[in-house]
Amino acid sequence: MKAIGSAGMARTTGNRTWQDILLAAPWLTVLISLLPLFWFVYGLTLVQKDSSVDAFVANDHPAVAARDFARETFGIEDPIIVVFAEKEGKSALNEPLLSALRAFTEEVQEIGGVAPGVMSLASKRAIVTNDAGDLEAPLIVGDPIDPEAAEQLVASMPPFQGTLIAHTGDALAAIVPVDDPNHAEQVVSEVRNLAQRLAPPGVEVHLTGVATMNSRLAERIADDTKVFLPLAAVVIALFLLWALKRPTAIIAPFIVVAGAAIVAVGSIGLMDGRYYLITTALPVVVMAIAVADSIHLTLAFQRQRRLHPELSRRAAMGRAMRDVATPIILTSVTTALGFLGLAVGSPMVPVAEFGLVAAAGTMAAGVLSLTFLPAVQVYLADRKGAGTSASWMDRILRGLATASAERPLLACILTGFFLAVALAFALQVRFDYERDNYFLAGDPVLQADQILQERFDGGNVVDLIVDTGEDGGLLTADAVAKVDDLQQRFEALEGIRTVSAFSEQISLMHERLTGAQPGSLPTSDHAPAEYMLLYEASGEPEDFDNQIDFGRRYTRLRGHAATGKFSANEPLVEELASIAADASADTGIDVQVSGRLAVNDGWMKALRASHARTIGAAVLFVFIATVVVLSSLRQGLIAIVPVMTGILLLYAAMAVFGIDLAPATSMCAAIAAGLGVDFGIHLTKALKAEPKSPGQLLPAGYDTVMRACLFSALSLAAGFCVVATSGTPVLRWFGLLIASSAVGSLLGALILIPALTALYQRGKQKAHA
Amino acid sequence: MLELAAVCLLAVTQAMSGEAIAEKIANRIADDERTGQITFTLRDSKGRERERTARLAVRETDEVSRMLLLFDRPANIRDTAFLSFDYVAPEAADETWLFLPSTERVRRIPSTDRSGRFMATELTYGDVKDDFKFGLADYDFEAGGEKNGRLVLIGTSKSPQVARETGYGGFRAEIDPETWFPMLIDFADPEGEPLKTIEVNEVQRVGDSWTAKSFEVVNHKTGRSTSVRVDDSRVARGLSATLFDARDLDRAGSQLP
Repeated sequence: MKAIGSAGMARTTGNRTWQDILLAAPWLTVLISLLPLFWFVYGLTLVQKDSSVDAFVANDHPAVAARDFARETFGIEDPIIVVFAEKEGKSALNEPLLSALRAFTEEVQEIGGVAPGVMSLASKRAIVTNDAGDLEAPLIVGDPIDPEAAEQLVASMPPFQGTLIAHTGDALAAIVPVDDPNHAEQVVSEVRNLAQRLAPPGVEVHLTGVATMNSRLAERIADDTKVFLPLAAVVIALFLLWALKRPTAIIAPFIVVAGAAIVAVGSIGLMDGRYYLITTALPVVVMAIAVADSIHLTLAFQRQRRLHPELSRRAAMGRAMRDVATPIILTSVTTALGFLGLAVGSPMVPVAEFGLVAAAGTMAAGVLSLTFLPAVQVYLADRKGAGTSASWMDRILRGLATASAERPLLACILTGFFLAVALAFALQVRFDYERDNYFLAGDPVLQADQILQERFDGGNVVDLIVDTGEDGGLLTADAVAKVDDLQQRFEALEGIRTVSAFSEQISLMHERLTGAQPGSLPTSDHAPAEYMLLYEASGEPEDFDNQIDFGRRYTRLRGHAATGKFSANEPLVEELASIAADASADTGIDVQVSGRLAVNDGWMKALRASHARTIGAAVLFVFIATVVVLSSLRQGLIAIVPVMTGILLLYAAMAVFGIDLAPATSMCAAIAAGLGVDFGIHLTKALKAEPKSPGQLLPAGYDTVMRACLFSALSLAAGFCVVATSGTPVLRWFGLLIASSAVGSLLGALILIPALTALYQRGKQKAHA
Repeated sequence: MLELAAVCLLAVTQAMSGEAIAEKIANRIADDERTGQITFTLRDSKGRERERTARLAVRETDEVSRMLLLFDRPANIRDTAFLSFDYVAPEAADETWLFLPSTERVRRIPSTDRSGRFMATELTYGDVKDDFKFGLADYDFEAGGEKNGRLVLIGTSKSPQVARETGYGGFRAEIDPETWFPMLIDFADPEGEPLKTIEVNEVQRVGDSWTAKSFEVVNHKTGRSTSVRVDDSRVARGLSATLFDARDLDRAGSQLP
């Protein structure tokens, strides 16, 4: 870093410095510096979206492997759930709605992307026994449909209560499996249109389920992207105009921030990554970071023109570049390292990829700011002859810094008290996740989920997957009894509403074929296989596909939990894992935990286990780089202080606003580390570089650096406030938290860096005395 | 000489109308009594398999075709017996029974419509009843020329109601002019979309009649398929009448070798 930083500044070609060479042929510099962007523009065309929440969990996690196996074997993982809701209290088993459900169940299969096995009362059969010899009978028959007959049959099938018909009897659900729940936008749209077209008047149609939620998030990504970029551009333009004073001066910075964003997003396509939910914030993040370099260089150029009007524009730009090139390179490297900390420390692919491409964007911003930007700003940002009097802003900033330098102990104590309060709040932050938090209150998908939760068993599912070890192994009395025992233990868990299992169906068949007591199981070992053969002789063998596999080796027990909240379900999933382990050890059948809640539990635990490591890696990378580039452990320690204040304020803000540590919010601290160190490096470097005037505590050029830092922080905060306009609460928090950390880092830098430097110098003077 | 005969036969039969071909198939000789061992290999869309083997006994008369399946494998359905009576008269309802050893009871299975799945295979009850023949009252027939030495027969359901009952809107079949056995049948659903294909791999002569020894049914809509193989087929006249009596299904195992 030193070689780049200081030796690089002095490097010459003959008598010419590298700055002279860049400025000698500005248009050639512009051309060469912009040319590589075309490669990244090509990368933009390769970007693919992945809006699934599961993208955060590693593919080799056992819960994911079990979930994927369940999807492959039983086929209805992460479906679209369509709810046809009558007015509360009105029976949904009426002729118009049953006709609509029958038509929907039939027609929805024709939609491209819908997988076989749509489940509804129209596709299911009741297990019955009657004079005609039936073992099964369709629930909805006749034309016109006989609602009373349907009601009787539905009442005889407890497994359908709460899953296909509301406990309250006033809503029906259809479960529509899809080929790819992560890319189901078109399918969801067509399913919604079909359901709305068929629903009788007065019946509300609601869509939920994981595929619907993923689709909704994809819509949000698209909506946010449409809003974020123009809004960020306007905000950045206003800040640039405020900082640089000339409308023409903001053109080149604009191209720099756009170029950095193109490199970041284009890198995703070039490295075959994916555009995840959190990636929506990436262009704005990179743009907000990139604008700081432009402000620093342009303000330095304008200062040189003001202080040395006798110099040519190119000479003034050369000097400005000599002043800020080192800090720009250093801050670019340290910020990029902060992002790389995410790439190294996070086990979550979206977070790691975010770190990697944001690092690329940050470095691109640094390179463009030292090549393209000066070549253009030398013509467009000139403010020769502008007033030299200090602005009100400079006076406030200088007053703050001077007060800190004059009374460093007091400044440190006051700030320390403030930080202690922040720490007290920060310690209350907790790891938690709830799927509903991804949507704003009132979002249609959330309303549908609430209906599912209130009137049905809900959409928070957790499964046990049973492997009997051989094909046909499930169809024995012994295996069915073991499954039944598992079901009872599963259902007894606190937080579980209901559990459905294949053993219920065998019990119903046994009861209705032999007149046995309700709930009893067959004792003859071959009875389950024979019952199934009898059922297949008259019904559809696929009726049980969502519970048992084709080979009759595996079965799934599905539990519905009262809530989707990670913190509430963590003990539940652990107890279930314990039940599974005991059952495997005691009975010889293999039992695994799977399902949505287990997957969520898996990646939240991975996040909790890795969070300290991720943040630690980011801070350590930034610190080591700062020490190396400043060639001083002492200065490195001082420069890292704003990082710590920014991070502390960020966690405090999380506690104050009740924001949980979840995948998207967990990466904020690492990003804040990369951003906060910029102020530390610029100010520490300015304090070190420029000689002080007699009687002055601070160097002459310190004002300009403080002003540049203030504009950088404000543009960062404003940029992230743009992210906070997102239609997704998680991204709102993300924007809010980074904005908080930017302000925290700035305050820490403006107050503590002069104070700590002054304290050190006093100590040094005492030591000399 | 044989090849010449075959060419001559083909030349003669090529001139036949669709109706005439369908009648030839419908009038194919069916032996009155036979036994064998039948194996169903069921496959799902992912290629996973399940196999069932049963002893088979068939008795056909002008009025009714009786079929008994006595399952041997897998072991957990051993001695389960399936008996069906398919009546020729369209007004007579077919009858089906299943004996479950674990309950020691015979269950009467309700008459399933022709398009219903037969014992979890990709065959329908209608396919089993028709036994590689095409209902003359169900389809309008058309000769489709010749392909690979076989006659092509095209059938179109006579009405949407018939299509709903059979589950087929029509078919295209390749017929062996020597045996009048359809070697390949492509069925369309009532909307005219490809539904399933039955391909006969091997036919065998049992007594005076030709039967399919091995064939495959592929459902194009679901990706599922079923392979059927009949071994040890033989004429078995004089089978006990009680073998085809629903009340004595529990004793079928001891009566059928």
